[in-house]
Parts: sequence; structure tokens; C-alpha cells
Amino acid sequence: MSDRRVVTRRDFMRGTAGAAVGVSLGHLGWAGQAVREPRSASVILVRDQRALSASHDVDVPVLKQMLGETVTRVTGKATPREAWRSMVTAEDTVGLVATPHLNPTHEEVIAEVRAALVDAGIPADRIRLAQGGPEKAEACTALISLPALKAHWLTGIGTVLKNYIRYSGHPSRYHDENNDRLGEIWLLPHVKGKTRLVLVDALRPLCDKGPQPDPRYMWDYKGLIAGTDPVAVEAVCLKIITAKREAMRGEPWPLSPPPLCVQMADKRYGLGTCRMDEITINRFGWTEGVLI
Amino acid sequence: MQNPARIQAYDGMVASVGTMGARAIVTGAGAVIAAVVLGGATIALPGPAVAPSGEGTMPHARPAPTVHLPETVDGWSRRAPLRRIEAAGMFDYMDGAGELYLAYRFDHLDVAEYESPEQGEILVELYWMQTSDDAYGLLSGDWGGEPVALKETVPAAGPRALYGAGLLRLWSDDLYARVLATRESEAASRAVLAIGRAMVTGRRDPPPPRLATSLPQTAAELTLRPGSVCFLRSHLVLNSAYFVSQRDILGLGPSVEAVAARYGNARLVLVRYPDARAARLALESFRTAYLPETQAGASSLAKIEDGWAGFGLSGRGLAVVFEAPDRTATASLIAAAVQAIETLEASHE
Repeated sequence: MSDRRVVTRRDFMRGTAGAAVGVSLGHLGWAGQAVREPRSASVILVRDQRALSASHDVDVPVLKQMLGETVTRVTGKATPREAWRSMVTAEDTVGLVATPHLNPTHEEVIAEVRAALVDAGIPADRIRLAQGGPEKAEACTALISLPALKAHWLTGIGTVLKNYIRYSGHPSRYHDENNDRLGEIWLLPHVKGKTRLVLVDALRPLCDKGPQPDPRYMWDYKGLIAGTDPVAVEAVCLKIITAKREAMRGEPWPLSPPPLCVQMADKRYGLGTCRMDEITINRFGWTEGVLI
Repeated sequence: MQNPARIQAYDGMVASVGTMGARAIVTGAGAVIAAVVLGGATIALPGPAVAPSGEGTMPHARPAPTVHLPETVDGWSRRAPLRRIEAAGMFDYMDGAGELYLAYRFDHLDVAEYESPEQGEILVELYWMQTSDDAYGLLSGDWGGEPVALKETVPAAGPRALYGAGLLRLWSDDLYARVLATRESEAASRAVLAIGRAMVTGRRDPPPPRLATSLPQTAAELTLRPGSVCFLRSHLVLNSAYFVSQRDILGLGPSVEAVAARYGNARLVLVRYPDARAARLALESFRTAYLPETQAGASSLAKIEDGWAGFGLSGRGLAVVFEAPDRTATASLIAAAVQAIETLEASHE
């Protein structure tokens, strides 16, 4: 990436970080998306105080209710079964893309999504765990992204966009200073257009960047965050993480490094909107400590 | 802590001892990279062959360090042999997290797991670094948590172990360790601390890196914030502590020592390069990329978007200040930092 301009702290201060990277990447074919059309997106946040016990165990029946409410709100359908059927069909091969590291997706979330899909008529043998290399995505016709909410020490936030990093076949190419390119993975031929739902496990997020889980920075948020615009969902996640960090320290505690990948997913790759004035957040359930 | 067993490892040999067997594998180059599999109450773990760490030292030969892990602790039992993870395997072990450890001078990782039928698991990770400074650097990334004394005689110069919410992090010579209980409880806390005490028993306690303890306490109206000093060698770690640039514009790397610290809202990055030429090149790289409005030279400052920034160069030392409130504070902090590094150099450390 020696052809790229150095992006510094000052670019963020000036608000020119995106331009600094985006303009110099014009030769790679993304320049057309640098001219941005207005967008809008809806993000659903469902919380339930009963979702976790005092020892952080998941209450599965409560989770099932939350999941049903989440998908009906995302799709506008009357029942969870109808909601899932509007996203996938019995002919699809559905990949569930959970996060295995740092703050792993709760097993209960994966299991409940699988059960709901089966209930909606998707054959069990057409539902598979799809986290891994490119072949995992290639084998699926539909993907349900199931990351857990967390910050990340290399990318600022490591929730939605980073969840597909292994689909690139070269995860290390997206680390370090190249994390602003994470959005391009969503445009790879074997990935593009397959994501039917982004469902973030925000039951017990991690608000510091690690790189390994430190329970001092985990808290029981007891939420699910979902939408079909991955950038909008990530932007909402980012707001929650940022608010929690400030609440913990009692002063601004910005993520470092800044999550450039979110801005780039919008401005350079056109995956969705990261602008909060273009995102409608619909909140349901428990309101205490909602942070957004 | 009964039945201590020490593994004698020899070049090219595999030795087995202990009630359930122990194995030490030695490389042909003579460096012990042993995987120890012990069923006895205590193990001695050959680690990297490195020198006692001091200010700016490079690793060299010394007796293999040891660490003692109990077989059982308050109802938790070690359930499997130690797992050895070399640098090349860090990505598989912890996804992108491995880069933090590789950003310091990492040797290898040993992992042990304890389990209790009713009380969950305890994960023990032993990060063997090439020097004590590197192990200190890992702890210095986050000074949060409750300082705990794992030895009766607490070494001076700051905490060596920090505990919070079931996680113990400790620095013990060339070892940085994490001991994490999956379910926090009083019993788990006791067990975690007991494992930590066992680990540090008999191990040396070298001082922190001199660069980290040489920082000025005050400059003009600025005061060093407690718990803000991070020792580092990589721009990835610098960006985690304080974002400067996506790319490495300060010429950091394994042979470089640096500290990032906070004075009020101002930031100081103090770097010591292998030689004066490397420092000059780094300064020019930084100045061109970050402060092009300044003139080339040993010292300069400017008001930019988020406050005052500037730099000062002396020999192989470079001080860079960010977000200072005014010209006077910037100049004072640069001068104090340069003075600190000149004093350090004069001491031939």
C-alpha cells in the first residue's frame, strides 16, 4: 500500500481522513463511490433486563422472545416465522457467521437463530456455521452475520465489518494500517449481496479494545442490535461502545486507533451509511443504561 | 508446591520426568523451546535463553527461567498438558490479538487450563518475552485494576500485578502472564491469586525500563498522570495508546524503546533509537508527515488543529509532544523530556 498517503491524527482533526485515503485509491476502481448519495437506514435495538442472570448466564426463553421481536421489527412482518421467511427461503443454503474470538458470540444466540430458521421451514441440513475462509461463504447463498459487540485494538471496533475478515482469504492484509479496507471484503464476489441480516449479540459487550477479553470492560447490556445495513449497525454499535467508555472513565475516552473502517465502508465502498443523521434507531424493551 | 521437579534439558535431547511425564524439547541451535508436560505438583519450565533485562539491553544467554504452576488450587485442577504456541501460531491461537505480543520482543506462549466442576475454568497464559522490559511493556498497556502484592517483599517502582473482575495480569522478569477465571467469585479470586503467587515465587524482579522511569514528573503547569506511562516498541502499540498515524512515521521497531505518557491532556512520546542517525531519520519522517509547517532542525513547535505540538532531538533521543495547551507548556515539556533522555544517556545505561 505504498501508494497511499499517510493518514495521521491531523486528518481526523480536519475531517479529511476519508479523502486522504479515498482519493489515492481511485485507480482501484472505488472512486465512483466516493461521490455519495444520501442514504437512510433503520437499526433495531431490543433489550430485556431478564436476558442474563447475575452470573451472566443467558435466559434462553427470554432470548427467544428478543430474537422474535428483533426480526419482526427489522422486516415489518407480523411473526418471527414470516420475518425469517422474508429473508431466506427453503432453497437457500444459510450460513451463520458467528465470532469465535475475543468476545465470542453466545452459543445460545447461534442456537436460537438456527432453531428459528428451522421453525421457518429452512431444512436443518441447509443451515451451517459459516465462519472461516472464502469457501465457507462460497458454499452459502445467504448469510446471517452474528458478531458480538466489541472494540478491537487494531481497528477501533471489531464487530460487524471485521466479522467477514476471513472471507478475504488473507486476514492479515486487513490488519494494522490496512484496516480501513475491511469494507471491500463485503464486495468480494463470493460475499456480495448474500447478507440478509446483521444481528449483533450485545448481551454482554466488551468496550475496551483488548486485544484479549478483560472482564473489567465487559458489561451486561442485554441487547440485540440488528438491521440490513451493516455500516449503520456498526455505527450504532460504535456509539454504544463510545458512550460506555465515557461513562466508565467519566471523561472522553476515544477509541484508539480511530475506527476508520466504518467511515471507509460508507464513503469508499458504499456499503451503507455511518451518518447518524441518516440512521433511524428503533428501541424496544429495557431502557436503563441504553447509552444511545 | 510439593515435589518440585526441574527439567534438565540438553541440546537435541528430550527428557521426561514427573508423575505424569514431562517433556522438554531443545532446538538444534541450543535455545530451549521446551514444551513441558508435567503431572507433578510443580513444574520448572525452561524458557527463552535471555539476559537479565536492563535498560536497553538486547537479549543474550542466561540460565533458563522457571515458573511454578501448582497441580491443584482450591478445587481447581490442571486438566491438560501445557500448550506451547510459537510466534507463527499466534494468529491461530488468538486471531488478530497476537499482533500485540509480536509488537514486543516475543519468544513464545505457554497455556495452561484449570477446571473445577462447579466453579468454571481458569486460563493461565504465560507470555515469555526476550527481556524484562518487553514483559513490563505488556503490563504497561493498561494500569487499571487493583494492584496486588504477590510476594511478601514488594519490589519498588510501581505495581507488578493487577487484578480485576477475575483477571490477574502480572509482570515477572521476562514473563508477562494473564490468569483469568471464567466465573468470578471469591473462591476463583483466591485461586487466581494463588496461581499468580506460585508463578512469581523465586523469580527475579528487575526494575522497570529506565526510559519509563526517567520521564519528567512536571513541566510548566503540566503534571505526569499516574498510570499513563506505556512502554512500547511498535507503532501499533503507540496507536493503541495514542493514535498518531496509520503508518509508522516515527521509525519504531524491535530495536527502539519508546514511552507514551500523558500530562494533563497533553501527550508525550519519548523515543530512544539505536543511534543518532536513526533518530534524525525518524524525526524527518515525522516532521514531514505530521508537522510540515515546522522548519527542519533539532527542535520546533507549532499550533495545529488539536493544540500545540512539537519535537526535540538530542543524540539518539527524540521527544514529541501533542495536544499541549500553549507554546510555553509545549516548549517546557519538550525541554524536560530532552533533559531526561540526556541524563539517561550520560549515565551510560
